[in-house]
Amino acid sequence: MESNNTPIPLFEIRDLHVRYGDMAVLHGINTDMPAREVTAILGPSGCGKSTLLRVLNRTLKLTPMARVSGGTVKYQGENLLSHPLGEQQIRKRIGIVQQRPLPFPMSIRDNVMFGADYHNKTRAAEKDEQVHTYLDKVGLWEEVKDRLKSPGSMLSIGQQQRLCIARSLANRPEVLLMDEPCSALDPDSTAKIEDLILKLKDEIAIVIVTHNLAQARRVSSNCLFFLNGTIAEQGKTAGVLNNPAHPSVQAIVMGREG
Amino acid sequence: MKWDKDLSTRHGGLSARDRIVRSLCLLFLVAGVGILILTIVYLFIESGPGKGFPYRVLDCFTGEWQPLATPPKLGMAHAWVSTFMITGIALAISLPIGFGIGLFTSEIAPLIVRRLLTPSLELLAGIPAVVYGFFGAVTLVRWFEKVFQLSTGETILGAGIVLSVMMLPFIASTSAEAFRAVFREYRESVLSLGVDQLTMFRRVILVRAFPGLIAAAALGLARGVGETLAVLMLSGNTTAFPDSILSRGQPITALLATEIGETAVDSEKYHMLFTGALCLMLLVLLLNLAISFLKKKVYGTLYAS
Repeated sequence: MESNNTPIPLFEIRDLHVRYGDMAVLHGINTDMPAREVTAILGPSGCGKSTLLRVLNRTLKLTPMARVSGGTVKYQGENLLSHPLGEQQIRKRIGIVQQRPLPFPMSIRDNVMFGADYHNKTRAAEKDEQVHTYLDKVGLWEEVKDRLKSPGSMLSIGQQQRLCIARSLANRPEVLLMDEPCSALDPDSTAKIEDLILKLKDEIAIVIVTHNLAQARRVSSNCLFFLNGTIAEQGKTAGVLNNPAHPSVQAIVMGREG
Repeated sequence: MKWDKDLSTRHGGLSARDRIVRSLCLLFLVAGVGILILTIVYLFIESGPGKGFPYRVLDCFTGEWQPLATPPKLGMAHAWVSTFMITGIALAISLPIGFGIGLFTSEIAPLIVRRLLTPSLELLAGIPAVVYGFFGAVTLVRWFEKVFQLSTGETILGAGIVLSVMMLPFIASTSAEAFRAVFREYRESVLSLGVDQLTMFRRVILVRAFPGLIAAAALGLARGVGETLAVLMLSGNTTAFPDSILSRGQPITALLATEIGETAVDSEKYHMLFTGALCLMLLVLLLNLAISFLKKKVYGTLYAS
C-alpha cells in the first residue's frame, strides 16, 4: 500500500496495549500518524489519550505500575520502544508539553535553556540569542524581555504554559506532543497557543490531545477519536467531526456542537 | 438578604458545627502557645531577676563551675562548650546520612526495601534515651577505651555519635517527605526533556527540596540540643572543661538534671540553674528563628539564580 511518493508515517502504531497494573488502559491501538501534519487526539476523559503520549515520549515507565503489554510502535520506520538512540535522545526528539504548566525553580532564561543546555553546550552569547528566538516564537519575548532573570513561576499561568512550550522547542524536537495544553488557560492565552501551533506545523509534527472539538477543527488536519482505550474513529479531522460513522462518536459530536 | 448576611458575610459560610470546631482548634492553639510563654515566664521568675541578673547571665556562659568553693563559682562555660561540641558532631554525622537515607527511601530504593526501611527508621525514633545510653556504654565506650587508650571511654565524641543516631530518624523522615513531594511534582516534566537523573536532582529537586531539608536539620538540631539522658550517660558527666572531642564533658542539659535535685530552693545556685535553663530555652528558640530566616533567604537566592 505504501507507494514511493507517500512518505513514511511519523508513527506507525500496531495493536498497542498498555496496562496500569491489572487495568488495561489502551487495548489494541492501530494508527499511522502522518509526518508534517497536526494530529488531534479527541475523546472523553480517562480513555487513554495522555497514556498514548507518554508511550510516544518514552515517559510511560515513570508512572508507577504502567507498562506496554503488547504491540509495536515505529517512529520514522524504527522501533520506538527499543530505539537505538536510547530513551533520553528519544525524549529530546519527541518533546511533550504537559497539561499543567510547570516552570522549573530557576529564572525565565534558564527555564527556556534547561533541556537545550543539557543536550548541547552553548556559549553565553549564543545562549542569549536562543532565549530570544524561542521566547519570540511563543510570543513571550515582548512580555518578559526586561525580567529574564526573575523566576519562571512569577508569570501568569498562560505565560507559564508558553514558557514551557518554549522550553520544549529549545530542545529542537522533531515532534511536539501536547497534552491538553490549553485546558487550564483563559481564551486569550488559548488563542495565542493555537496561533503558535499553526505557525509551528510547517517546521515540526504536532500531536495534540484536546477536549475541545472546535480547537481540533481549527488546528488539526488528522484526527483520532478515542473511546475506552481504543480508537473509535480516525481520518481527516473534518470527516471525523462532520460525519462520524461510530454511533457513540456521533452522539458526542452532535451533543457538543449541535 | 438574610442568608447572605448570616452565612457568607458574618461567618464566612460556616455552619454551627464548623464554628464549634473552629473555636476548639483556636482554644488548643492558644493553650499550646500559652504553655510556651508560661514556660519562659516561670524560668525567668525562678532565675532571680533583679540587679544581679545580667551579671548572672554573663557568668553562666563564661565562668567556671565550682559550687563548693568559697565563694562558690557557678559559671557553666564547660557545659555550653560540651553541648555545642556534642551537637555539632551529631549534626555533622546525621545530616549527610539522614539526607542520604531520605533520598534513598523516597526515590532510589525499590518499593519493597522502602516498605521495610521506613518503619524501621520510625522504630529507631521510639527507642528510649536510656536504652541508647546503655547501648552506647557497652559498645562505643568500651571500644574507645581500647582504640584510643583512654582510662575511661566516656567521651564527647561517643555522646555525639549516639546522639547522631537518635537524631537520624527525624532528619531522614522529614527529608524523605521533602524529596518525595518534589520528585512527584517534577519528575515527569523534567525527564520528558531527555535530561539525566543527576541534572534533574541538582538543578530542580535540590532547589525545591531545600526548605524541607533545612526543616529536617532544624528538627534534628532542636532534638540534639535538648537531649539529656543519653548524653549524660555517655559524656562522662564531669565538670572539667573539655579540651578535645576525646575528653569527657557535661552538656548543659546533663548539668541541670544532675544538680537541680540537691539544690536548695532560692539559693544562688538554684537561680543559676534556672538561668541556664532559660538561656538554653531561648537559644533553641533563637536557633529556630534563625533557621527559618536563613531558609527564606537562601531559598530566595537559590531560586533566582
